[in-house]
Amino acid sequence: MPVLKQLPHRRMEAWKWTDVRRAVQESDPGLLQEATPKISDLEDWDGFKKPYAGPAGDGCRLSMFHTDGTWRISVNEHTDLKKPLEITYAQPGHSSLEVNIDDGHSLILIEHYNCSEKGFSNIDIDIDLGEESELTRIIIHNDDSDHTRLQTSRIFAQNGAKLNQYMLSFGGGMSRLETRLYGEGEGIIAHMNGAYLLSGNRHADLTSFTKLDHPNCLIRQSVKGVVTDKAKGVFQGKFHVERDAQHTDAEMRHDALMLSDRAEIRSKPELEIYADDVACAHGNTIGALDDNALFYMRQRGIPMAQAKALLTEAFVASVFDDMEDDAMKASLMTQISEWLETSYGV
Amino acid sequence: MTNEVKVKDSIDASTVEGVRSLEADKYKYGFDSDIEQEFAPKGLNEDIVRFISAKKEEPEWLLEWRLEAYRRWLTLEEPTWAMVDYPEIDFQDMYYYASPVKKEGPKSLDEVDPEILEIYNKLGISLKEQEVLAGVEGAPKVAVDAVFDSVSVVTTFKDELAKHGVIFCSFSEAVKDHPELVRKYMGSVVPVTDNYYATLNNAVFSDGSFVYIPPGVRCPMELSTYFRMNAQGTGQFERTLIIADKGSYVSYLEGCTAPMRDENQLHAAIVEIIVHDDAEVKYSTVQNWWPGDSEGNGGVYNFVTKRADCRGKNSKVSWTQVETGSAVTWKYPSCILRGDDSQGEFYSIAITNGHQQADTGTKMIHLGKNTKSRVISKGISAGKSNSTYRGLVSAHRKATGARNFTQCDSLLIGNDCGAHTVPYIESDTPTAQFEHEATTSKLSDDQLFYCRQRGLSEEDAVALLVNGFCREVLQELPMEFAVEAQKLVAISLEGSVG
Repeated sequence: MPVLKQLPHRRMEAWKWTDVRRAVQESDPGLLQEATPKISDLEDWDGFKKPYAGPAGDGCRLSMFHTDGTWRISVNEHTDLKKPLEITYAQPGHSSLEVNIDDGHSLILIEHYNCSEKGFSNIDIDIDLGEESELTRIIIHNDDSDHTRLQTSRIFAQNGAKLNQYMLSFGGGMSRLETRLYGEGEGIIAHMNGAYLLSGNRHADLTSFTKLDHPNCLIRQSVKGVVTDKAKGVFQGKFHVERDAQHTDAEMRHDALMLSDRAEIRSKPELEIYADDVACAHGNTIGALDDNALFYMRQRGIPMAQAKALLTEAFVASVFDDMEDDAMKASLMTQISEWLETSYGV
Repeated sequence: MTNEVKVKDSIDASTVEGVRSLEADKYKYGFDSDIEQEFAPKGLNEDIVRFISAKKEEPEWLLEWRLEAYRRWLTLEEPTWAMVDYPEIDFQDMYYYASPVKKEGPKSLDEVDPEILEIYNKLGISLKEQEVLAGVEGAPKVAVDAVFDSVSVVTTFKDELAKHGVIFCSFSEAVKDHPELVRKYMGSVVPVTDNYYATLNNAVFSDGSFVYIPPGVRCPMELSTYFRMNAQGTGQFERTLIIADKGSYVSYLEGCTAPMRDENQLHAAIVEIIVHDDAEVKYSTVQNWWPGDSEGNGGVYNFVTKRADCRGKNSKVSWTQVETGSAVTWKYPSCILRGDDSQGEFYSIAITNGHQQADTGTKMIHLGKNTKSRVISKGISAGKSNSTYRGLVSAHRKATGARNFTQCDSLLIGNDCGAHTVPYIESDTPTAQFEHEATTSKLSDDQLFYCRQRGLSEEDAVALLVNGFCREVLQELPMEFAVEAQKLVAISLEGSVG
């Protein structure tokens, strides 16, 4: 099948606001090739590239058609290194990654998506979280404004597994970062926070899907967006709570700021609930900066641009508040400040 | 004074009767009436479309309209995106036209077949009594258009309304008597090919109500249409067109019921509302089509397209709906807020029980400046049912200062049902302020315990709590309907406890 035909398009309900097929041209670098990720200290993690057992066919993930194997990282008693694993995707192309965290072990995974050239990238990631294991995942995305990026991760969590995810996206030409969390055990705790800051003609789509099959899970999700110029921000979130997932406590929030007349926000916070003894909520707000707060700050001598930057920074920063790694948090905040300075001309 | 007491007596009596009938049967409107009727041949083709048009003695342009719609319908596909699941509908296996046999169109109530009047009596719509009470001071007046299967059998209070310049008649009469208004507005809110079921309706629509409120007139009474699906194997395809001219006001009520049958009957209606400058329309529905039996057999498929166009500045539309019936509901009453400062409201309670499925919600499309909308939706699922809120709120680039507040809450009673929320939010202007909240929960054990401790049975306690949950919506209903709706909330949940 021609690769363009394999790409999702706006007539598919889940892709109506992110029309990948229209954004990609056949000549785009990366469309038919494999990308090699840069993985820090690969050998320390028993990392290697595992060839596929058979050829790609119907129902296979897109990357499988264009790569000859999947990168595999294991965290177990020998490789629980208490240091972050960093993976950088800077080349256009397809890539596949599997991460396996054994029962009771933990990992800090930092993913960089920063391709500085026009092209197409598609990264498929599968993560297995063993019982009582813990994953802290930090995703930083800043592609070239002509780059199209798909990144889909599936996380399979067992009893008592814990996930902390922080995503910061500055977008690309068109991008979709999708997290699919499958709760396959009881008592899973997941915090999935994210922020997108978009300028120019950039597009970022932060989509998530959380399916819970077992009781006593706690999910907290908060995504904040800032769009200016002609940028377009998309948030799609869904909690799917099956009949047996009683006592689920799940909350989803999406708040977006629009800073220009030509910017666009699309949002779809969805709930699909089959269990009766649960508390599930979602909230969504879209608006501009508070005029009163701006006036107050200007009255105290803060220039307009700086006042806007300060308010925006405070708005976005909250999603990274509970990050444990202070250095990492500072690094994210610096990137946000730099973006604000450029966008507001402070 | 005495007259007022009389009226109150009658309301109380019907309430008492209603409650009594609850004990006997869950669905009190499920009786079958043996009325002599004539049908179009079964199935759907161009000849049937011509047959319906000829039966209604329609002008050529309307026949062409129907045929064009029919041809377009053949090219469309049935939508599958809603969270509802039902066996494929055989569109050739139903009657598209059924009407009570009549000699001449009745000029007044006295000429209406007494058997039909009796049916409406049984439904709690006493057409005759209403007319008689017309002279009684203080009696609540509601003008009723009674639509029985494919035709409107009678419209009450026409003359009194005419004195105020209000036109309230069946759609077929409007086509004959006010073709200029019908041609100007029909299809201007819901285009012929808007969606699969709307297109089908355009081809085979039978009857419905037509309302025109002239400039500056506040309609002196509530207008109401009562839809009754009676004949076996028929679909009902009515359309309603309401035009509120500048500065006018009307409150419109819609009720619907159908007999209990083990077949699935199709109801695909269109409601179009046009609101000009400074006018206001309040549209309330108590939808109580036969929902099917407890095993999920039979019931009405309710696939309805309702849309209001706030064309004028400062215009306002308010949709209030209580959805308790139908096996499958697919319905999104919407507002196009085109005029500057126009307002749209949507208050909804959707209650599903047994094997019912409801996918309902609204669209608020903000096009004009400083437009406001408010959405309050309460979904209650019990038994093995599923209820979905699906809504769109969008602001066009020019809709500066648009405001929306949406709140949708779902309540689950029992562990075999589902409650879902699918909101779409699209904003193209930074000055729009959109807020959306949704929660899903179950009835609190503490509250139930508290009620039971004070001597309420479990069922009464659930009904009380659910009524409290729905209060925001119920209080938007006109008085006569609010009583009815509160009873319905209790009926639909009967048997859900324990």
